[in-house]
Amino acid sequence: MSADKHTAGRQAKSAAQAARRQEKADRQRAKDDCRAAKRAAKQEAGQQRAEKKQQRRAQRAYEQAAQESKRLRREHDRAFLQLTAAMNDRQQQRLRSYFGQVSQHILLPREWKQPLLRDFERGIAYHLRRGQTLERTLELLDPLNLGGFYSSPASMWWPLDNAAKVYPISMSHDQMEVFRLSVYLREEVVPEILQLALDFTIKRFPFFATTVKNGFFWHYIDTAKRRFAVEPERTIPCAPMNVSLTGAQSFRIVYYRNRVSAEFFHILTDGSGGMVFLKSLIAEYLRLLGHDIPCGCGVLDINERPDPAESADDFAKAAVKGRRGSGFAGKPARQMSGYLTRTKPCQVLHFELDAGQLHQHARERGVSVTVYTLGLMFVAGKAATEENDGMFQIQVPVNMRQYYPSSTIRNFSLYCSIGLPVGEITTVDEILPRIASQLQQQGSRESMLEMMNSAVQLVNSLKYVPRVLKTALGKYVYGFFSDRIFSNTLSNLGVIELPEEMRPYIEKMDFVLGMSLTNRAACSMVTVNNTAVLSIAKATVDPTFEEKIYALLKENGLPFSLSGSELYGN
Amino acid sequence: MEINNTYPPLPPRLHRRRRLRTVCGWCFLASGAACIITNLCIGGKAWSAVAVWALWMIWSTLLTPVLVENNLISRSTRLLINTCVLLVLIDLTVSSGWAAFVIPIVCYGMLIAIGLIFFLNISKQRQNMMPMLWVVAGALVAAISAIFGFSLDSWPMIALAAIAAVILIATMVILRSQFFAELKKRFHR
Repeated sequence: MSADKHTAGRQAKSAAQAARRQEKADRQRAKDDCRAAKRAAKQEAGQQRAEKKQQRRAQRAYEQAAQESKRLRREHDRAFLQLTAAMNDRQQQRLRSYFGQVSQHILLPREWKQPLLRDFERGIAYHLRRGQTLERTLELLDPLNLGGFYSSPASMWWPLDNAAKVYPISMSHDQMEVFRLSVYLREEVVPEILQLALDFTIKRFPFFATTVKNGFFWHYIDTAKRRFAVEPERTIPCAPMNVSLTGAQSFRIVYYRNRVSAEFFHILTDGSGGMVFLKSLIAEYLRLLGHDIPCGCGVLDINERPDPAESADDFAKAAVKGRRGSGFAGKPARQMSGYLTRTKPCQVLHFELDAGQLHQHARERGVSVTVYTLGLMFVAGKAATEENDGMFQIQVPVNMRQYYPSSTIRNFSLYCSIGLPVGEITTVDEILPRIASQLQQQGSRESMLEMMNSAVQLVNSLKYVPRVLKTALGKYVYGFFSDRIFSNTLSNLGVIELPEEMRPYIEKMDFVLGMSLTNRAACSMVTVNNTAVLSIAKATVDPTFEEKIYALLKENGLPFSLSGSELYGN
Repeated sequence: MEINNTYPPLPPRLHRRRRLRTVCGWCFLASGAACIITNLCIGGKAWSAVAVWALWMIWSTLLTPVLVENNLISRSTRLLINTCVLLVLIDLTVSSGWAAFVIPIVCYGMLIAIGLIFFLNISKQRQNMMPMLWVVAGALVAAISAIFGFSLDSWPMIALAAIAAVILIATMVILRSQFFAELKKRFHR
């Protein structure tokens, strides 16, 4: 009995001990949980603090850059006054007569005339500070380069070309078809001279010196006689432009360190036309710096009269009457995974490759550089897609100038679509033959002609529909037909030719496409001076796509360097 | 993957306007819905139509301005049209009988303002004349309708028709061939 009691007591004691142990363990666990939660909260607070700190730093850096730019401008204005004060009477007389000539070329309202005159003052001050003689400076900045552009009334206007008609209809406050071409110089950009180069160059491209207007049936572009400004780069690449104000420009020229970028609203031109403008601008910039740059290789003579063929809508000319087109509709393509960012593009990346090696690499596989790059994109796209079904479609713009003799600088490109089922995308080498054959077939003259006929037919069928109705429907239709049916884009501008005398001053170029509504990435490529730059504009923070491209390039033994922007937010 | 940053620092509050638009959009939607529901619940006159239109006016004028041709003349024209619709709604739903008299006064007042904007800087505003011409055309059509369809007994309608005609004739005389060139641009196909 007593033994039983003893056993029961022991059991109760051990049960109590176990309960205490359990309680202790529970308390410990609760404490640990509490500590972990506190740690997480602390970490989160720390992260938030760091983010705020980073934001403040970015704000400070931005304000500093803006102040610096203002300070420099003030300094240049002061420098001009000091320099002219130190001149002798003859020089001052010469300068007065020079500005008289400049004034004669500018019959614009005061709000535009004053800044233009200031451009000349800044340009002269720059050269004089560099030790250039007054005579040589005035010779370089000859006001004859202004031509009659700023002294004649605005009378020209152009209907939008067939490809451009959709852009103003489909744009929204956050979405605009803008692309960017950049040239990297060997030296830092001189903003004063770049501004003068633009002042001189714009007259050669009269359809760029325009503003978008509303017609009853279609939008059109109307001449805007004003000073077109060069600005320091202060916003994300391919940011939407405000084209709504009187005389608002549809392109922007920005500079940052040694880079000059031209961003175009697609209604003006395509990549090839934009490149002609940028090359002519840079050639003029180099000339104003005192270098001898001839015309040719796509560099136009800025003092030549603009050829009407350059502003022609060659779609209408090249389309064949009565021939039916294939249409634009298609099944939705598989999109890459990753949340779409509100900021588009949220990041821009540039893979800088040796063009010779890249070409060699493609040739070893019996394909072109475009096909090889498409192969990389398909494999990287598959890696960035969680689904294993559906079609991965890549839009490839095709320059129609290769099929039709055309000297237009406006839009004259169409696109073809290269697609593979996601499940059938294996390795780059395995899919290249299929891509090559598709590209050959889809990008052929016949296919492009069909597409061009479709475009012309579509425009013709809508020509009596009031613009208000087109605009109301355009955004949705455009998103449905043109965006969702592709997963990605590759626009390869190819090898850019430059005059031999210009090459030493140019390091490289890049080409960035603006983002569409649902695609997570858009790729573009341009080659100059044996440097091929593959640019990726992104609309998702998910880095899988570019990481796979990075890994594939490494695997294939292609040396490259990677540059780009920070993440602009999500 | 190390990225060499070759882009400048950007202002951190890059999309302040867009955020404002999003927040206001939801607020406006909620307010509009609340007005309609309240109006339906308590019954009576359809005052919510006026409230919803007023919200739409603020939304379209301040937060989502048009993307092409958002100049002084076109803004004034849109404001005029929106105001007229608002006045008609007030007349129909709250208190009636005065709109036919008041709207022409508002119209000719605004037409004078638009005309001043146009004629004081004609070289710059020449490209923006179309919205003004739409208002002029609307005013003339309204006046002609009043003559043939109804009785033309209110002086504001006569004043509106006269001002519209003066603006139209003055524009044609001053611009001459440019006037027709402008019309050709606007109606191209």
